Amino acid sequence: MNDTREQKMAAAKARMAELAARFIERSIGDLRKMRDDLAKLDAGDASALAEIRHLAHRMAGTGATLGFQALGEHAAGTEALIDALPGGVAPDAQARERLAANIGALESQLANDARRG
Amino acid sequence: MKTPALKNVLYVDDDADIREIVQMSLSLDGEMAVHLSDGGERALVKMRDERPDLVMLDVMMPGMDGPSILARMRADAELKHIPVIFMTAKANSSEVARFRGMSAIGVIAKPFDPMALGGQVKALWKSHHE
Repeated sequence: MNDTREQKMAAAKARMAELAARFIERSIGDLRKMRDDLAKLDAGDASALAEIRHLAHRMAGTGATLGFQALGEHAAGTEALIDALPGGVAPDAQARERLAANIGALESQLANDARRG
Repeated sequence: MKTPALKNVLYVDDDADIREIVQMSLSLDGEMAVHLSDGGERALVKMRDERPDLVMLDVMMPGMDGPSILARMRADAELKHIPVIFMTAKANSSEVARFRGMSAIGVIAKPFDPMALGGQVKALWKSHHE
């Protein structure tokens, strides 16, 4: 028997809740990677910036779609910060500090979201 | 002009979670078959295999981005007629105009409401055929 739209919506909402829990777990790992990439930037490896941007972009899109609006906005802000940096050169100390502050804000927001379950 | 039924959609995105959410969203009414691809050349192969009525492309993907896939489609005799909708986090007016200038029939902003996405897609499909 085919499911009704209501049954499909209930199943979709249940699956969204599972995906949200998985997103939180993945984001904890992604923020660790961002911190590692930040350390690489501090050591002069400019290529780490693209990885931070990729992780922030994914966190922004997926997070907000799954209902984590504040986290998504912080992540979009991190992406925008990177996009505003001059291309082709390693970010200076001031830019790296701003990036570190953004990542810190993401960590705080993620901790709040994880507590709320 | 009568709007043809939208039965077969291909959604292309490098993010597996978003692919699953889009597939669930578009399947709620039971009217559409939703195929998925994670991008690149695989997306073009999938289009040839599935012959979708509509392709939905994420804009920002590693390797070949959404606009590059659309350019490849428009240069391909088998795929050039397939309507395309872009999905993007940067759906400001200048970007929307740019994508429409590339022949996209519409742009849907990310993040999206999973429960409303099907309606948005159908509305763009209908207006494309009016």
